[in-house]
Amino acid sequence: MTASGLLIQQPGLMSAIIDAGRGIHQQRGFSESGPMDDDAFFWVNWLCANPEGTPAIEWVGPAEFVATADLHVAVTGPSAKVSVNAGTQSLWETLPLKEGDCLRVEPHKTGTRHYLGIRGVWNVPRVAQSACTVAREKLGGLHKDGSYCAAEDIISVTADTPLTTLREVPAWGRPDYSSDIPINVILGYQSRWFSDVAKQLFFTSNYKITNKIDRMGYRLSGTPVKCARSEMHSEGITLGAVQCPPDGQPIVMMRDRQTLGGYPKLGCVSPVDLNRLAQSVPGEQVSFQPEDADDARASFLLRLSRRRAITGN
Amino acid sequence: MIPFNTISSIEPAGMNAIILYFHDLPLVEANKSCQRWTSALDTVAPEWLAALLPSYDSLVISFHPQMIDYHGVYRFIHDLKASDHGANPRGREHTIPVWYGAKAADDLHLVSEHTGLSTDDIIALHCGQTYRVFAVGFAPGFAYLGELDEKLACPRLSSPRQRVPQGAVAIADRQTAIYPAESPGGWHLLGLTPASMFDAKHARSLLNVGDLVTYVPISQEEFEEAHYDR
Repeated sequence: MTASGLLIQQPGLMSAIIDAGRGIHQQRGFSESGPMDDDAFFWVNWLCANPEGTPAIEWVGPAEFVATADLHVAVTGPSAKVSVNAGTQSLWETLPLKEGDCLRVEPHKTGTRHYLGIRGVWNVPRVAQSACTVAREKLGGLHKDGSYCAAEDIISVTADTPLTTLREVPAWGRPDYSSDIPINVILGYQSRWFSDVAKQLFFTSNYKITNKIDRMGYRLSGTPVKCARSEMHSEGITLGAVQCPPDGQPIVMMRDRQTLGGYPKLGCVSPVDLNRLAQSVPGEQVSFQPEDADDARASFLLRLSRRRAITGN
Repeated sequence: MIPFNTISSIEPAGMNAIILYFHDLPLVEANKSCQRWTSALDTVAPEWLAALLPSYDSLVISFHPQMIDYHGVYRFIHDLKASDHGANPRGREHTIPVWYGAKAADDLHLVSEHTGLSTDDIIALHCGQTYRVFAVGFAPGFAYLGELDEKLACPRLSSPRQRVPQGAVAIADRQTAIYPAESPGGWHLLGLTPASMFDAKHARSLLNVGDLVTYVPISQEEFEEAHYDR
């Protein structure tokens, strides 16, 4: 077993170590954290033949990495130009790197999130069983203080068994990032507090992604969705919850949300559709449609079957 | 999902979670019910359990949807009958030392203006009762304690502070809390505690739902001694 590594030459924006997150520790106030686009995260580890939930880097914008030893990596996410040294490479494929090779990723659209996986066991610090970087909580990440990856940082990995076959995610298995398909929302929480008219408005209007979007939540702007009541005790907020503060502009709660909050919620975005929202960028329009919880679960299970058809397990 | 027992209603909280409400009970009783259900589920720890988010009068139960659906979770909690187990798990008792009026965390004059009470009266009221931990959330180890004496109830600051120091003891409405780490915050600050609220290494929070907390005043010297002993 030898430790090898990847040097971060240009980290991109908000370049964070992430893994499956701190789900069960939310009870003690930890953010759930985890990948904003869990489909891209799943595939980047499969491409590296890593166990599910192995850490990866999530970032925004152009980034560059240099291999300090021979290793296998992969990059997933929306459309981007990928190159190793001067040669063009692809997303959704295992990429073998030789020591000194320089991997560069330039997203075609500003603001999309990309994932870099590295074959092997990541030698990175953990808090509450997770390596996730949570800037707001000042914990996790390479520097244990919630700070993002910086230029010159090195990710150390231990690869015990060499990778013999290179993998590729077939086109039909890759996530569809188009933003013109409505995003499904399962009504719940305080949905009874919203009038039928308010719900109709929400489901028939287009909402613009504002520039107030981060790993904590996505603020939308458009037709206000007013809630008849507002006094409530703080309660648990789940991933994708659609909060409507008094100004009626919805906020979809994302991975680094606080665990408890006191704004009324109309429902929750279906987990299968959350990736598309997470990959939307400021200025784009999204729309929503109501979905039954059972139908949402069926979509989720179908996605698992599609994954299994490719991974074979 | 038809509510049963002390549960007033059950709503979906997304495809992979449900939320139980206990709105028909007085707040302390509602909170005790949340605690009973939380502890019952924690103890049984079914493999489909992804997260529990107990709060004042509600409990979110998140599950792994590849293992179960919300009908299954409903049936499971129905069979669990946590409320029938009677005795509430006994919360731990804590005494938290506070250096009231510490320079880095001193809004006593503002609280005085709001309440018309003298600084001494504010301190006497704040440490003159035992509080219950109603919820832990917002940030790791941040415990919401209640219910504060009505005479001390203050609104939040009109604009939150960028930096509240670690260990700041604060009040808002009828709640009191201790900031486990430096963070932004909009509550009024009464002083500082040298107690460590949160152990990041082991992901442990000093205070947990159902615990009982009493504050005791200490001097600057005692604070500094305790602080440097840590």
